[in-house]
Amino acid sequence: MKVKFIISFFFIILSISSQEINPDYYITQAKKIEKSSVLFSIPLYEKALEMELSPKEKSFIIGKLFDLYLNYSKIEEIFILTKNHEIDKSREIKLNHLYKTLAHNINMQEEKFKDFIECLLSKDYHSQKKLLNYYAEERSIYVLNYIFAIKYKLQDFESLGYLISEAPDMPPSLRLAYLIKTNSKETEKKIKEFAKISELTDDQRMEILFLYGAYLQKKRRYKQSARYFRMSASFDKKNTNFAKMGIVEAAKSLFINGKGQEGCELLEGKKIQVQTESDELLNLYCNKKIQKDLNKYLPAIEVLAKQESGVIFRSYLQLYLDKESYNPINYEDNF
Amino acid sequence: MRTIFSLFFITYSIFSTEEKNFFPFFQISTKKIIIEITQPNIKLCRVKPEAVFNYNSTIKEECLLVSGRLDKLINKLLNKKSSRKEYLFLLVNSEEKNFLAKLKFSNKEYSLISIIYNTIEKSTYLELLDNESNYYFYTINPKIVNFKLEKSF
Repeated sequence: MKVKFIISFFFIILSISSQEINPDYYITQAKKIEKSSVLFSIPLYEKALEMELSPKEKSFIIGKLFDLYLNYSKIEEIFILTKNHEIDKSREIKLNHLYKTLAHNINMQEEKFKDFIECLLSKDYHSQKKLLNYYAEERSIYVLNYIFAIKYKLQDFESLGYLISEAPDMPPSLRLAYLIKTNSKETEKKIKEFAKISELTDDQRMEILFLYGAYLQKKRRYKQSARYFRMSASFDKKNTNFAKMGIVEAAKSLFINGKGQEGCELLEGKKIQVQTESDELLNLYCNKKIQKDLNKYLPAIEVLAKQESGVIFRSYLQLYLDKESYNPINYEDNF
Repeated sequence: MRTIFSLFFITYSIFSTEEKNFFPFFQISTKKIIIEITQPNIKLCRVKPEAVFNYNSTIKEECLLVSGRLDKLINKLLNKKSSRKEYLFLLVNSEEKNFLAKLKFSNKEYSLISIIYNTIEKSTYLELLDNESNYYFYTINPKIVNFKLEKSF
């Protein structure tokens, strides 16, 4: 089974590689996909942006990504995109408005907020020191959220490690999240240690269990991961019409473990609040009427499958490979 | 997987007094747990599951009538020759249907869905539901778990 999976995945990767030559392929696919799934078009535009483009194509993709990120509140991505690429005047106005709103939301002066974000987007030692000062001055969970969200997106673990070592009062959930992301051997021990803190609130318990589920998923212990994700949902007291986050992640662990149908049953008919591409995948997979539509998104799923966090997409490709005589060139037939 | 560090995930502080309990909160740390058996001829069965949470269709492998301590029953039911990573045990009634026993701890009542034994960690877990159908997966020392049969049996 394992050998079969490795061979199949090798085949998939080979198939993808053969199509990487031409950015037009990604742009064309992205435009088609965008009509029915904005989220799945994003990785294709991003992929095209990594390639050699004409100035016109480049300007089109940057503008497009800016708009799509804004629509899906992908704030970290907006900051990174606009640091690395120039945007046109109308989007510059939108960006300034975004800075203003976000600064207001966390009660920080706009100029200071801009400086803070600029500092976050740099990886040098001077910026690390500055960030520590921001944290010391503000002592706000929102400031910390920005630091962690953007540093993770940039894979700047050195800066985060520095901050954690210099700020021992950092919230346990963020310390845990860092340990999980950096594959620290201490993770399991620390999770259990934090879970021993007395008088944890339900929200804190939910968060620790959720992180434990994420840790186990990373360790490929999918059954245990699903159980802890599901338990985390039991401490999630928010009442919405959507499936709870822990349940959605439990369903994803089941899906990765080859038990997609059981994952869908776990949702008990509740809708998924689609925020990420993996939410979108599960949402389509669990809706019998539109499940077949997923095949339309194979070009995007292939790109996502190559990313470090793409295990759920690799599982879907494996599933697809088992069902069909897989031939990436045949995607066109699905439109 | 959802990005753990999305700006919209962690929205509250978890600063806390670092006073420690002896056990993490997902381990039942009470001195004694009683599983109430309200029907006659209830068996604990080692089963082979086809799903992770849905135990409606399982293959029963070996069963024993319940009584006494959980650890002793588990020891008898473990298949020492098998190399499974985990064993699943269900309570089954005389009609061969799954029986959800009640148990109490920390002033709360739960229904017992299953007992899981992990051979690598050598840990025992209880899968429970509370009266609002919330799911819990607690580690437990099986030596503190006892079955209590109604006197009339």
